Amino acid sequence: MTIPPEPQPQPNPILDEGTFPTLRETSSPARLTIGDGRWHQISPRYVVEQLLVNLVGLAVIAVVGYFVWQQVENPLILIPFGLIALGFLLTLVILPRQARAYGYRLREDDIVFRRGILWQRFVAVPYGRMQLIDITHGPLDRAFGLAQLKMVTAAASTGLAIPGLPQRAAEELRDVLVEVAETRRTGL
Amino acid sequence: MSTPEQPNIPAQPPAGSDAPPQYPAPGAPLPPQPWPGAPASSPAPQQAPYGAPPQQPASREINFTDGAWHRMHPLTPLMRGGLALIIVIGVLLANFRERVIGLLIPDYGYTGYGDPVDWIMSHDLWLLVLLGALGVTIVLVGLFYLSWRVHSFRITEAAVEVKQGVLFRSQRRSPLDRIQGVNLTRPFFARLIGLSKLEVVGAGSDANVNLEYLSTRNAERIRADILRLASGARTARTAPAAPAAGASAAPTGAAPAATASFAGRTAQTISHGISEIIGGAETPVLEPQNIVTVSPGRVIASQLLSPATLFLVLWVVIVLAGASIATFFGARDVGVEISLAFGVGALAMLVPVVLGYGIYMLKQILTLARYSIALTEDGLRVTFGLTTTVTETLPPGRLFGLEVSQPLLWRPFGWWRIRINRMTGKSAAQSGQVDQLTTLLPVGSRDEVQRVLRLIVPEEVAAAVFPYGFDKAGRAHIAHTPSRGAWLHPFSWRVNGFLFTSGALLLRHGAITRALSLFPFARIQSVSMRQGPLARAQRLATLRVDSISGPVTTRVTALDRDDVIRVFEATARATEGAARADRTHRWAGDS
Repeated sequence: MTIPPEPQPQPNPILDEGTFPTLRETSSPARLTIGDGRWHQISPRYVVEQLLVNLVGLAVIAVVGYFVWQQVENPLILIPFGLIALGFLLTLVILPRQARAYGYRLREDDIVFRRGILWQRFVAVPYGRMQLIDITHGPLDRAFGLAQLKMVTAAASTGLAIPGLPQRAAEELRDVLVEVAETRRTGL
Repeated sequence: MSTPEQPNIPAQPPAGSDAPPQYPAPGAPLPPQPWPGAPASSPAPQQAPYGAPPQQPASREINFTDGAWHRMHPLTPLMRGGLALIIVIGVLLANFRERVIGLLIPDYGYTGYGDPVDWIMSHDLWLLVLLGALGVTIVLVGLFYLSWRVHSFRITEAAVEVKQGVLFRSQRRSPLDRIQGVNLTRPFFARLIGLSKLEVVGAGSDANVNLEYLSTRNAERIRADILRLASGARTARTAPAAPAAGASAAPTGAAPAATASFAGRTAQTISHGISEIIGGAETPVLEPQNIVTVSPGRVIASQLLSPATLFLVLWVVIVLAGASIATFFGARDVGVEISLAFGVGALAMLVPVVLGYGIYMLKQILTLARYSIALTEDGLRVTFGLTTTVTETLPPGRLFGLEVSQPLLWRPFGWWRIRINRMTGKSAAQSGQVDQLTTLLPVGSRDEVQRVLRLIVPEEVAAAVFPYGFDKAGRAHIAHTPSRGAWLHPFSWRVNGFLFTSGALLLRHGAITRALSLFPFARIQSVSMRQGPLARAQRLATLRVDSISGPVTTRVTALDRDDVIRVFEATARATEGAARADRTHRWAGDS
C-alpha cells in the first residue's frame, strides 16, 4: 500500500474499520493542532476492555480493603484503599473521553501520533527513523481482537505506542510502516 | 553461536604439556595452524601468527584486513588476570618472609607455631602440598594459554568480528557501516609493556567490540584500517597510517635501535611507554588550526571551580559551626572534656568528605590532563589522560546532539564546556565511563569552543551559536518565552527559547547555568510538543527533541503555542530532508 497524499478525506478500508469516527479534543482555541488531514483512531472495544480491567481492579481493592478493615477494626486503614479506588474511579470516568483522543496520521514523510485531551502530546517520527515495530496483544486483547503497536527509534523518549488498535489495522499499519521505512532507510 | 564445534579445542593437550605463551622470537613466528571456524571463501583461512612486536622492520608487518583470524598479543593473559595471579603469589611470598628469614638466620627467633605451614611440616605433607600448588599453577597457566589461543579477531570488508572464551564461547560481529567510533585506550600498566586496547563502538547498549590487548603499534594500524574500511574508501590511504605509526616514536627521541635480545626489546618498550606518558601519546595533526588543546592549569582551575567544591566548602562551614557550637555551649552542661570530644568527633566527620573530594579531584585532573581535540580525515580525534590515555575517534555524522554550557562559577573567566549526545556502546553498568565519552571539551574559552564547533558542525551553525545564543544583541532572533509565561522562568524567560537554522535546531535555556543545545536535523529521531491545561490557558506549550540518551537538554518549556506548532512542523520536515541527504554512514569522499 502506498500512502495517499494528504489530506485523505475518505476513510481507509482497513485502518479505519471499526474505529472511533471522530477525534475528541478541547474546544479551546489555544490547543495544539496540526494542519488538515485524517486522523486514524483506535477501536471503541478498547474502552470496554479497559473498563473491565479497571472494574476488576476496583472489585479487588474493595474486597481486600473490606477484609483488612475486618482484621484491623480501625476505619483509618480504609484511607489508602479509598485513594487507590478513587484512582480507578477517575480512570473509569476519563477513559471513554481519553480513548477518543488517540490518533495517528500517516503523512508524506512521517507518522504523527497524538494523545490526551487535557494534557496533549504530539510526536512526529520520520519513517526512516524507525528501528523496529512491536505488536503486542495479551489474552484480554485477543479476546477483544485488539493489539498495541509500538514504534521504536534510537531515542528512548520517542514513546510512540498506540493501544487498542483493531488487530487487522495493527498488522496493516506495521506492514505499511516497514515498507515505507525500507525505502527511506538512513543512518541512525 | 554461529561457529560449529571446533574439534581441535577439546583435543588440545592439557595444560603443561605445551609451552606457555611466549613472545615470538624475531624470525621464528608461531607455526600457522588451521582454524576450522574460518569460512572456506576466505582467501587465507589460516590462523596468522601474532607478529610485529613494537618497532620491528616493516617487512614483518601483517595485513590485518585480509579476513583471516588474528590472535591478540601474547601478553594479553598477563593483563587480563595473570597479573592478579602474580600478585597473589607475591602476597603469599611476603607472608612467608618471616619464615624464610627464620630459616636463614636461626637466631632470628621466629615463633610462628600454630599456623598451617607448621601443621603441614609436622605431618610430613609438604611434598603433597607442593605438588598440589604446582598442579593448580599449571592448570591456571594452561587455562590462560587456552583462552589466549581461542581469543581472536578478524576484519573483513564489511565487519569486525571477535571470538573468545573456552567454556562459554562467544562471537561478536559488528558491521562496519554502523560503527560509531573507535577508542584506543592505553591503560597505565599495559602501556608500560607496550600494549593497548581497541574498542570498536557500536550503536546500542553493551554493543562494543573490544580487542584487548594489542601492541600499541598494531592497535594504531588496526584503528586506521577499521576507519578506512568503515569510511567506504576502497583504496588504502597512504599518507596517514604509516607516518602516524612511525612518527609517534620520533618526538620522544627513542632511537629505534635494532636490539635483538628479548630483554633489550622489553626495556625499550618500557622506556617508550614512559616517554609516551611524558611526551603525549598521539601524533600531532599537521594543520594547527584544526587542533584545540586544553592547558593543564585551566583543567585544574576549572575542576576546582565546580559544584563539588561549593558543596565541600558548605560542608566544612556546617561542620565547623556545629563543632564549635557543640564545644562551647556543651562545656557548660557536660563538662569540658566531653564537649571537646564531641567537637573532635564532629571534625572527624570532615575526613571522609575531604578524602573523597581529593580522590575525585585527582581522578578528574588525571583524566582530563593533556586534553586535545584534532580533526582528522576520519572525524574528530579526542585524546586525554595522563596515566591512562584514551584516544577517541568520532567519525563524521556520529553527533546526535551537543550542548555548550557555562556554570555560574566559570562566568568571570569566560570558560565554557561542550558535552555531546553520542552512541557510547556502553551498558548501564558501565555508566562511569559514559561521562568521559560524552564530554567533548571539558573547558575552553569562547574562541576555543568556536573552533571546536567549526570542526564538528557546519560553518553556518557554528557561527550562530555565540552571537544568537549568548550575546545580548542576538536575543531578538531567539523565539523565547512570551512575557505572560515569565513567571514560569523568572530569571531566564528572555533567553528560554529556540532558534531554527538551516542545519540544526538550537535550544537555549538557563540564566544561571547558561546553556545552548544544538541538534543536527540529520540526527533528530523525532520531535514532540506537549501542552497541559495551565499552559493552554496561557497559550503556551513545550517543545521537545527526541535524541539518544545523553547529557544534552532536549526540552524547552513555556514557549508560545504558535511558535511551537510552527517549529514542530518545520523540524519534522527538515529532519526528513536532512536524513535523506545524509551520507555520513560512509563518510569517505572518494569511490
